[in-house]
Amino acid sequence: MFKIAKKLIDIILNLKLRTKVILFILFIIVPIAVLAIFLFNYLTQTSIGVEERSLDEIISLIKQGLLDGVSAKAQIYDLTFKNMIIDIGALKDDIIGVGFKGDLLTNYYYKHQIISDVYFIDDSGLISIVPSSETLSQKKVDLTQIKEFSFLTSETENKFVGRWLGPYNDFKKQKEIISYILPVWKGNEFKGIVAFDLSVSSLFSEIVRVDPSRSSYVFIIKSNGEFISSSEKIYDDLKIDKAKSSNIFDSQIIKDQGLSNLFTSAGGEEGTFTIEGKAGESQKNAAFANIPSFGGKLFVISPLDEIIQLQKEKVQAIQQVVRTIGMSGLIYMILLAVFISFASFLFLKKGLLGPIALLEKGIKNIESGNLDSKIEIKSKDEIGQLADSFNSMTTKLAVSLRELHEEEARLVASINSLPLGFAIVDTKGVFAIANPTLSNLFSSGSKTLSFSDISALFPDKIGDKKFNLDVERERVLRDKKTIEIKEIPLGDKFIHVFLSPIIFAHKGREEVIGIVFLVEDITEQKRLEEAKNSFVAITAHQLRTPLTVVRGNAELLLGMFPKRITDPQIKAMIEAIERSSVRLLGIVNDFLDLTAIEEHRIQIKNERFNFVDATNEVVNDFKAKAAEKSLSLQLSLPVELLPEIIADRNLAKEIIVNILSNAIQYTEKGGITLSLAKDDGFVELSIKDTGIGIKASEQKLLFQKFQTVGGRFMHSREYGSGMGLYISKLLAELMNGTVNLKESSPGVGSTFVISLPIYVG
Amino acid sequence: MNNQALILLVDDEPDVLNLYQTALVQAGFQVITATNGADAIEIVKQKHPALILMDVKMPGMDGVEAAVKIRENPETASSKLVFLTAFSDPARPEADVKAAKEMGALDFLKKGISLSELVEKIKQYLAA
Repeated sequence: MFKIAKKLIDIILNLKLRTKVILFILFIIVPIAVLAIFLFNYLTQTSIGVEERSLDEIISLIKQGLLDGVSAKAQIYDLTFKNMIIDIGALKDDIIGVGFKGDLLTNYYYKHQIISDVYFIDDSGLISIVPSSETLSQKKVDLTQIKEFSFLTSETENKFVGRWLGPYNDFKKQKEIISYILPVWKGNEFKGIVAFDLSVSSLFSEIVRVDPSRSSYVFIIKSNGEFISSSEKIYDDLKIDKAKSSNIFDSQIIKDQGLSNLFTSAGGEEGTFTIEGKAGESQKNAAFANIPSFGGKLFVISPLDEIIQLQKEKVQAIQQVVRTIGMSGLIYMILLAVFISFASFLFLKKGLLGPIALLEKGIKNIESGNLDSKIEIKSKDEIGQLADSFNSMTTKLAVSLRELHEEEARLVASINSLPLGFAIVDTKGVFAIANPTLSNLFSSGSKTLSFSDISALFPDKIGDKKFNLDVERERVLRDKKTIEIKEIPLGDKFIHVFLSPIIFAHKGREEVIGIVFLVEDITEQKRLEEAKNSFVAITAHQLRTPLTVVRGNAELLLGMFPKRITDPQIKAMIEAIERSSVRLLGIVNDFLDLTAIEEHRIQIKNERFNFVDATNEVVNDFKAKAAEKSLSLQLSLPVELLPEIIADRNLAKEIIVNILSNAIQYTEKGGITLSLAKDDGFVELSIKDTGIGIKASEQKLLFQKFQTVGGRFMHSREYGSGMGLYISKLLAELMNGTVNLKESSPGVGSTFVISLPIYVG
Repeated sequence: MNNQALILLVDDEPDVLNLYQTALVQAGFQVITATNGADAIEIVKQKHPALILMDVKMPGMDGVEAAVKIRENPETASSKLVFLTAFSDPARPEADVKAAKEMGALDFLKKGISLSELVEKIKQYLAA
């Protein structure tokens, strides 16, 4: 039993929320409503009195044939005729009534087919007959004819109450009929007449049929006192000799009590009198009512004790009803109310409020960071599903969060182990992350550095330019572009700084949410480089002195003492020594040049000059050399006048010298053609040779340090260090120009192009 | 222009001294030599050479120091002085010249130039 209940509760709890609400309405609200209706009905049914209906209602009910007389059964007959128009009936058993008002009449007689016809005549004279079994038929009657019955000219102005008519003979039906007619009013408007035809014989036989064993009975007298219907008991009770008379005026009791005038037409319309009972019998109460139009009176005689008893029973019945309802009903109701309340409470708590509270608690747990918390809701309704989703979300969240934490741990470890100073700076200039390398770089000891602290450590000038790290940071935020600042001297250190924007693309918009701040300590690198450079420089210098001696002596021998060297073999040897020493000196000079350029120690002049003239000067210097190899050397100029360029004239010439000397060096047949042209902000010098050419695979490496062509060092100048093209490229770039290999194919030749910027005034 | 002009060569390298002495004598100059700054100062005081060709890097008193001393001494302050060194900065030749001029030198020649060029330069200095 308990198990079943538990299962039932489970099923209920697992229902959908909507179903729960429907169930709530069905099982809690509906019963309450039904109970209320039931109670209302119960109380109204036990009410005592005459149920009155409006005539319109009656007529409509009659027409519909719906009146079933149920309500009549609840009627309590009022013997005194008070407060009733006229109702007659027997006590206890089936009530026989003649109602002049209300439904009693219609109910009863209609039901028992004592009424031959019920019809309605409207104000136009249209008569509707509403028999119980006959189909509705209509006929027209002459209203004036009805007026002959003189009820329309009522004593109460236009309005009159119903009255009896007859008895008269309905020849068609061969019956003696009495009619009760009622006018129908709607407001002050006369709508017609409802008439009830009663068969007198049926009515009387009904009255006579009253069971003689019953103590109460009914009879009717004519206005002359003659009985129309009677019972043996009348003669007995009223002390009339049945053999001699059937007239109420012959009653000894009436005579004794002097009540005769009561029954005259001038007498009371209604009244009561007491009949002394025989020995052993109680007093009897006689009540009568006038039926003026009928010209008779209706009597009811009942024993007083019965009336009293009836009254008592009435009271007891009422008390009983009240008690019954009061005791068990009240208890049931209280119990039911308690049960309903409890059920509602449980239902709401278990089904709705509890789960919602649990949900809320769960959410608060998550809010406070406790991702392990689960919401325990077992129901399968929406809240249960919500809880399940919530739990699975929490689990996923916990997993994601752990992954996130792991990711973060990895990231932090990576950042912390970086040899670079790393920080993420938010848009306000506050560090979100900063690794230990950064702190060490700016050696603050235990003090936590802020970005502005670091900014303050920076020099306010780099080279000739003003510098402020904070300004740079703002520039990165504004321009959304990475800034790289090289070789910043910082105390005895040199650092390299990167500021990169962190761009967050969201909904098609780009937002800078911070900056990556990278600091590389290049002190060691710089020292090494300096050491290397000074090594190269010092070595080169040290080489230069002995080379000077070698070259000088060879030169002396050849130039100043030519007469002493008569042996051509020895002369050739000295010449070889001189050539080689010159070449060696060239290499040394290239090394020194390169070191200077790479260290940016070279100063570039910004000169305006004619590139054509500078080229011409170099070409003239090389004419002899080209002639030695029987090579043509031509400079072709464009028709148009070329604009001046801006560059360092000597360095520009050096570049031309480098390229041109290479061209002559590597060309054995044909010649070199130089041509100048303007091209989009630059003047281009093309140097085209018909030399050995450069393979495609080697072209890429051409402008790198120490390159060779065809296994040989690329020579610049006559001595060649393999650095000529590299130096040329560096120099051109320093002058905002370029040096490129335009085209080259082995065996055909190469074309180099030197581009230098046009002077813009 | 007097080709018999007396030229003082100062260099710690005997080979260099020999080379330049030979070349200059061949070109018709009178040449005396010194191997360090201190000697050079003494010779300048006594002989008043028409031109001093001085190395920079030397043990003991180096060329720059000697030059400063010669300039400080009113007797020798007007001597013509040219540095001849392996330490010239090829990338910034004008800087070397500037430095030399600040020390009262006419020029800053780098070793390794051809002897004929050297002779031409000396002739220009003497004429100046």
